[in-house]
Amino acid sequence: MSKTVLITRPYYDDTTHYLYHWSSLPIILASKRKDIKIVQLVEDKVNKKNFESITSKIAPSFIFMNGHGSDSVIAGHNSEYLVEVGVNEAVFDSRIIYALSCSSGKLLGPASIKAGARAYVGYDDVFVFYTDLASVSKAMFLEPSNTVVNALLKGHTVSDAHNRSQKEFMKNIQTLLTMSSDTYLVPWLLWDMRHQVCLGDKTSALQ
Amino acid sequence: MNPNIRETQKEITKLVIARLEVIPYNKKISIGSEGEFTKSELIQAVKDNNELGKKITEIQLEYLRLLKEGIFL
Repeated sequence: MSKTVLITRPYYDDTTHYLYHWSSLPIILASKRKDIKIVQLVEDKVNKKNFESITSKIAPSFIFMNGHGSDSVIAGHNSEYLVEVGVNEAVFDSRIIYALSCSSGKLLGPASIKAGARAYVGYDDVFVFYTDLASVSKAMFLEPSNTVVNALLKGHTVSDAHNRSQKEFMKNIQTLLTMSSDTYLVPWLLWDMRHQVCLGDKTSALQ
Repeated sequence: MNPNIRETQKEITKLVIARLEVIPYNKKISIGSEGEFTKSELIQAVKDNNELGKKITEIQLEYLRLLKEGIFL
């Protein structure tokens, strides 16, 4: 039976521009798998109406959210709220969520678990990354993020996906400390690593 | 504000700015929904002690605290 994955990929400012392109890598990986069906909401299609409608229609077991966020919100195109605490967090019921968005792990994550989400990986404070054209710096931040998605797509548990991501962050930090002149990246990378949270049933995996 | 607290705040600001000074001029950092910032913009935010500056300070101080706790040992 095919596992359905929903990915939101807004694209309207500098930050979403980077996340949009970076989130294409797990999609390429998943496209080689016959047991995974990827459904994307992209650019101006990433609005609340479409998000709720498609989630209800395809019943994804995993949702990968890209975009801006806050303690209680994940946003879509032009910062339109897609999911908000006290409004529609039940849309995550029975699903595994990975939110590459600022701070939503603080309130929305726990509220989603309470509303029935199987697991929620996200960040409980701002997510930071370097955006210079030399992709090496950017990759240092966004590869550990993609590790969460890739591990889940390969069938690993949420806990394993989180741990692999943490290891990838630490590997990049150690590389910077020992082999690079770019050690100024370390505090920012360590911040992202420390603020990635893993909530809910950590033994759950894609079904 | 208590003079001692004000002096400590000044020292923290100087420390964080010194740490930001090592960032190359051609680098930009994205900080959540605040946007993308150059080194000089980061430093100015810390000097202004605005919301962005406070977050940058928090990130740098957390790093120093973790170093002191021996996170890499």
